[in-house]
Amino acid sequence: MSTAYTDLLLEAGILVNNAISAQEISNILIEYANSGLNPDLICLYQYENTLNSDMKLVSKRGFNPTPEYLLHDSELFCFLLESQQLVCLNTLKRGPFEELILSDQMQSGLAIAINIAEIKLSVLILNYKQPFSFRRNEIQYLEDLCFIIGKYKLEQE
Amino acid sequence: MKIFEIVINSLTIPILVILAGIICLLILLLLYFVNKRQITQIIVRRLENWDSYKNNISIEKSDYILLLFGSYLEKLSIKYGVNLPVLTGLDDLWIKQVNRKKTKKSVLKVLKYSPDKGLFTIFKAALEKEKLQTVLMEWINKSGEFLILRKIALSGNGEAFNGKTALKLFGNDISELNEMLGDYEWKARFFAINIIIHDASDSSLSAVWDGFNDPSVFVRIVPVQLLQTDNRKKLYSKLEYLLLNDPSFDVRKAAKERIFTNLQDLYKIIPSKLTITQKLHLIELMDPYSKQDENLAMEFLKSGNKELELYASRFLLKNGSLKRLLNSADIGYLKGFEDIYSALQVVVGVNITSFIELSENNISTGALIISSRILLKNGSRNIITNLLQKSLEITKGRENIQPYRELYENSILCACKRGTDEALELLNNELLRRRYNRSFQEWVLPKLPVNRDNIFASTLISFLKDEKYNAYLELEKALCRFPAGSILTEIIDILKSNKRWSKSIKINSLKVLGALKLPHCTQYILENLYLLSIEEAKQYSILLSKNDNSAFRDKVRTILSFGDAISMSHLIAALPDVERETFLPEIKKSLSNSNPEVRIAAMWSISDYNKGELLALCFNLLRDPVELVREEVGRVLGTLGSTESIRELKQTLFDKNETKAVKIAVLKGLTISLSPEVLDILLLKLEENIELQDEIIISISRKDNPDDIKKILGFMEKTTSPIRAYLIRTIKLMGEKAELFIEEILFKGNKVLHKHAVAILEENGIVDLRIRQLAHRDPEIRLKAAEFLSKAGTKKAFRGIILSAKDPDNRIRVQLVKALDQMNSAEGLPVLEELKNDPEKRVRKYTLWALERYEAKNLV
Repeated sequence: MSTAYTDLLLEAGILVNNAISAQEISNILIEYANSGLNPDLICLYQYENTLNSDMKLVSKRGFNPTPEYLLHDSELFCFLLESQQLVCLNTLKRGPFEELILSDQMQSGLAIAINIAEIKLSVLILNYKQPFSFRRNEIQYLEDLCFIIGKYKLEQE
Repeated sequence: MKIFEIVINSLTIPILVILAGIICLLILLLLYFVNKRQITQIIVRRLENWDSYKNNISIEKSDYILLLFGSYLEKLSIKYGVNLPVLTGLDDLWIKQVNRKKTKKSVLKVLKYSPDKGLFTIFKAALEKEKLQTVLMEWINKSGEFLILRKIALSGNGEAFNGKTALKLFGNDISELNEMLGDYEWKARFFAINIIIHDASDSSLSAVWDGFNDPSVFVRIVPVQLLQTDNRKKLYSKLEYLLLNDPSFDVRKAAKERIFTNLQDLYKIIPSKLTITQKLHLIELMDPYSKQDENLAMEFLKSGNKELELYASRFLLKNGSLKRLLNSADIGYLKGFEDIYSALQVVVGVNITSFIELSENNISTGALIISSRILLKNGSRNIITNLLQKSLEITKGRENIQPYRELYENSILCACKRGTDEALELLNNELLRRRYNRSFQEWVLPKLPVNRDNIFASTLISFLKDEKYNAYLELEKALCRFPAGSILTEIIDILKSNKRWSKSIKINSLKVLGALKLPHCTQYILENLYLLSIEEAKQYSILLSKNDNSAFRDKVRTILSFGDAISMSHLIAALPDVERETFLPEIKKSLSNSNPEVRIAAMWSISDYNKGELLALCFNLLRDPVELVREEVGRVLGTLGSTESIRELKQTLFDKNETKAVKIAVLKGLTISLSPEVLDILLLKLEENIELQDEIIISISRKDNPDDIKKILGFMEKTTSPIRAYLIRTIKLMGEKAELFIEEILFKGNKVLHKHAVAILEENGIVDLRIRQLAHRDPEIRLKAAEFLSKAGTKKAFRGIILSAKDPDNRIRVQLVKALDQMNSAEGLPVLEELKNDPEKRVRKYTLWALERYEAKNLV
């Protein structure tokens, strides 16, 4: 992994360690995913009240219109929760992960489920206008960022 | 005299007979007159003193004499104007005669002198003899008595009589009889209903139906037995009610007999709908030969009501069902066997146990097992002998095979807990037969009854003298539970004998003697202490502490001053705490004794004080020329685990000027120490990486409790590579105990230790094991193995998991896909391409996921 990514992860770790709410941590996640991976669209979906319901869009960077809800019975959603793995789509294609592309102008994307501060289950989706927009380092960076954030436990909540 | 003989001889036989008859007649006449005179005198005397005799004129003559002079007494009655037949009790004899002979003469006499008493007897006689009916009816007509029938009834005792014949006699008096049914005297009602029941008139029939509700048992029973009616349903209904609810057993019994004689077709009692009391009544009258009743009683056993269970049990006991049930227990059919046991447990729960006899020859194993379970707490103690005898025969050679094992063990437990001496003798023989079976001996010895030393003591002593015997620990405890008097002489004889008994037998005898804790045996123990190891001798300190007296001290001082190394070392080690203070100067002196054993013993003795000054003396021995002494010092200090001793050991270990031999002794001490800070010291020393690395690794590998392993793994994360390599060796030495924790590292995703964890697991053969488990028939085991290999992510794991591409369980194929993603190798691509067409959608989805990731990760 490049030094730039290592530095970003270090910074994110420090900020998360000083965070006092899940909202703050969500913002750190969006911010560092955005600055590290430069997507054209980035969205964070979270449960509103109860599990087994659809996830609502709570944070977004980018101008393209996006779905307000991530349906809880969609194939992508189910796979993310079951596998707890990062899913990527290098080009626009039909299949179980096509919902990963949130807008018509987008060609590739990444998605990962993360339990923010071990209390707020969320799904982070990044989209790119160009196909093949990420490589090994980008995937590793996003996984490590989510690992750091997922491991952190708030004392207050 | 001679003249008399001559006269006799001259007479012919007929004349002699006539003479004899005349003489007898004269004698009888004489007796008659004598008795008559006596009777007259008695009566006159009694009548003269009438008040003092209070209406009692007892003549004190036999019944025969009284009857003989009956007419004379009648004359006297007329003469004196008193009822002499009644006053003398003659009327009772006449009543008996009426009852027996039914003569008109005696009837007339009774009617004349004692009608109140004898009327019912005459009535009964008249029913049987028509001639007397006329006499009776004439008397009734003449008597002009009001309610004469009631008088007849009350003169009896409620005996049964022929009501049908009586109806012929009193057919005209039906209305009076009907009225009698309202009499407060049950005898009157009984008399009346017995007659009326044969009358067909409506009023009589109605009165008889009411008889079912009469307060007297005797009256109720009459319609139950005799009522004839066309209304069978009504009769059945009345009878059923009485059968279930009447408080009198006789009435219930009569009702049931009547139902089963005349109304069986109407019988329709449903037990489940009855109250508890009704059920109890029903059980009481069950037919012992009826299978239906037997089944019903078996049902009642499951009722949960103790009273009902008792009644049902008693019925089943009486008809032999319980015995049959017990004998039918078959161990080949487990459910049936347990059902029988459950039923019999209920029976035993209400204290019915006499169905267990076990006297027959052919008793099934199942019956014996159930009996053995029951006899553990209940049943006759005498039966236990039979049980044990039969059990030992049946289980011989199969004592450890179920279900014979249960039978065998239960029977022995029964004998131990509740057996007679006869049973215990059988057990004693079994003890001798299986004397070399260690597990049996260890099991049975604690169970022997302590108050039966007369049976077992000699057997146990024979075991003590037997070198091949192998359950000494339990034997020692068993012997100690017996009264000391029954074994002490034998034990002392063993210790005192020179060569007859081997050393091991003497040691065991000494241990028993010590365990007996007898103050008067101190000398024997002290003199034989050399037989034991120092550790064992130490255990005797509790015993010796009880012998705090000058005699004991003299004995110890004599042995310590004599200088015998073996005796000294053992005695010093065994000295009790309270006595050690007294002998402290001698013990300190022994630290420099020429014999290493004595030095070690003295050191152990001092170490218990745990005082700085005395510990310092022990530390000096770390530099002892004898390696054994140094090692023991290390063990002593490690065992102590005090802050001072651990600090001292640490200083010695890190002392650059200390020799290797001393440090090895220190390491041995630290190894056995349970102090939590020891592991830190060892890890610190390991990290120093100067010397003794092999010894330290061995020491650390002994710290294999979960907390220590976690600490070691945590240390691994922070330390340098060479030290990490040492620690990997350490964990490998721990073997299985550490494997679980290492696997945990994999599953928790610890990236720092992942590589080392995998290396350890590969080296320990765990990876190979998991690969083999991929072929296990249990899919859960295969899945766990696949998950493990997927997490391991090594080449070897990859080669293993690739085999599971054809596994029938889709969860395992998914793990394979995850492993291929983890590997991120071109070698996995063909497999992924193949899995793209997997019949399971879930597998295909994971395959697409992995392929996308592979493509992204390998973009140039």
